[in-house]
Amino acid sequence: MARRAGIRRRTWLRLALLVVTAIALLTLDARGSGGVLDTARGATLDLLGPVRTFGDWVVSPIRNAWQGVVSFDDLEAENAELRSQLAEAQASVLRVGELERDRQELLALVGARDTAQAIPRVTARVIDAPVSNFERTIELGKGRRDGIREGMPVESGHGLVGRVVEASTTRSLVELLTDPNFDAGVRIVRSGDDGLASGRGPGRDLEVSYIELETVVIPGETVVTSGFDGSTFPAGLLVGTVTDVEPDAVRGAQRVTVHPAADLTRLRWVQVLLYEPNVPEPVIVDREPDDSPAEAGTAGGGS
Amino acid sequence: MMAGAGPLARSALVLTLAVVVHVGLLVHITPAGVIVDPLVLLAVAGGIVGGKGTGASFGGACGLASDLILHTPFGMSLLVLTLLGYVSGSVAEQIPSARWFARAAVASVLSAGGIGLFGGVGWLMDLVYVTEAPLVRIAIVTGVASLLTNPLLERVLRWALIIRPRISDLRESTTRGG
Repeated sequence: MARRAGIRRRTWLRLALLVVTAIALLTLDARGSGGVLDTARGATLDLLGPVRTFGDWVVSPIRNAWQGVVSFDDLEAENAELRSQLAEAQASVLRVGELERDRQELLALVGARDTAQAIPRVTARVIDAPVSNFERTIELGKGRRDGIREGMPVESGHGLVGRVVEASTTRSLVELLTDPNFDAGVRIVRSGDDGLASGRGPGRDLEVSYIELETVVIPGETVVTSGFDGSTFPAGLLVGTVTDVEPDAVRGAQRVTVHPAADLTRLRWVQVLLYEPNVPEPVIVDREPDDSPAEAGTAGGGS
Repeated sequence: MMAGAGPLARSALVLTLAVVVHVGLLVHITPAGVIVDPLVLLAVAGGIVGGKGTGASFGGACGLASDLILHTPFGMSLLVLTLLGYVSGSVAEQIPSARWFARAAVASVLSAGGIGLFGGVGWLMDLVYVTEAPLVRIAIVTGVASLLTNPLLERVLRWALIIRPRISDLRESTTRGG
């Protein structure tokens, strides 16, 4: 009987110890002070990197072949659609140069220098398969060894994808711009108004807040990063286009919905901008001490 | 080579293999678009073969391994899989003479429940990417995977944790043999 009670007590103790450890780790992680935890995760990411790559290498041809067999009709239809899109693209290619000139003029107009073009970039492959069903990041096949650091912006050929949230030696994790934790300073190009774009979850459009009620915002307008001092994004990165505008009388601002320009469901290759934000210099206020010589002199002269 | 090794070394080997199989293979095989997490299945099987104490410990080890590879808050999987291992052990202790298929059915329900528990903790922590995931679909697929693999996982864990086979299993094999 006493032995059974002892076993029960030990079991409870073990459970309590594990639960307390879990809560302590969760607290450490939430406070962002998990240096050891981040290192451990980074090391695991590096360690399992070759396994992921090997698995991808082995399974990809089989998966592609299988998809080719089961979705042959879909592929044919997609092929036909792509051909028509290519024809359209060829027709509109002449307009691209003109549009680019317009974009540069608009950027100059709103004071957003197109600095993004001059920033060095690292091209990285997106590791195809997510590790779990609860994924909020994508994994890249490059890391610190290639100059990638936390906070760096990531874009595809079409527009902004997100920012690097974790970088180990050979791998990095990117938080997508649709993530509810994501926000970035943006600018509506035509009006030049600045706002804050926030993610609302996978598959959903972004919401831009702090756009004044008086500002005229039209669906279809282009939204770029504003690149204010200290922002993790340089100015002029294409974020997306406005799809909806709703006045929010309570906040005295408009709620603007923006559809991301990058197709986040079909990312294969992305570019990491090796951009370190310009942190504004701290403002040093020269306060003259009360007993400064000048003041002392004046006081002395006055007496 | 591992025959003389203790339960700790054997468990570490099983966990390492599970992680390698997970990230190298299972992430590419996604029935109904769901990734089956072998660590959830192992935590449940650990509880079923070892009881609540061993279930909690082995579940905790699975959780820690899971925390290292997932990008959810560190400690979340540890909490969920520890509780899952403990609950699995508690349930298994109520049905000591259950046959293998009955245990597989129980493991299936517990694994699906583990996904629900993960979703619940995600909800408490306000993790939108967890609560907005197709939890019912994930739970069903995980449950089916557990139903199919539990007999094998039980054998593996009996070897790893050095636990003798159940009397019901021995009786069953004797009946079959003779």
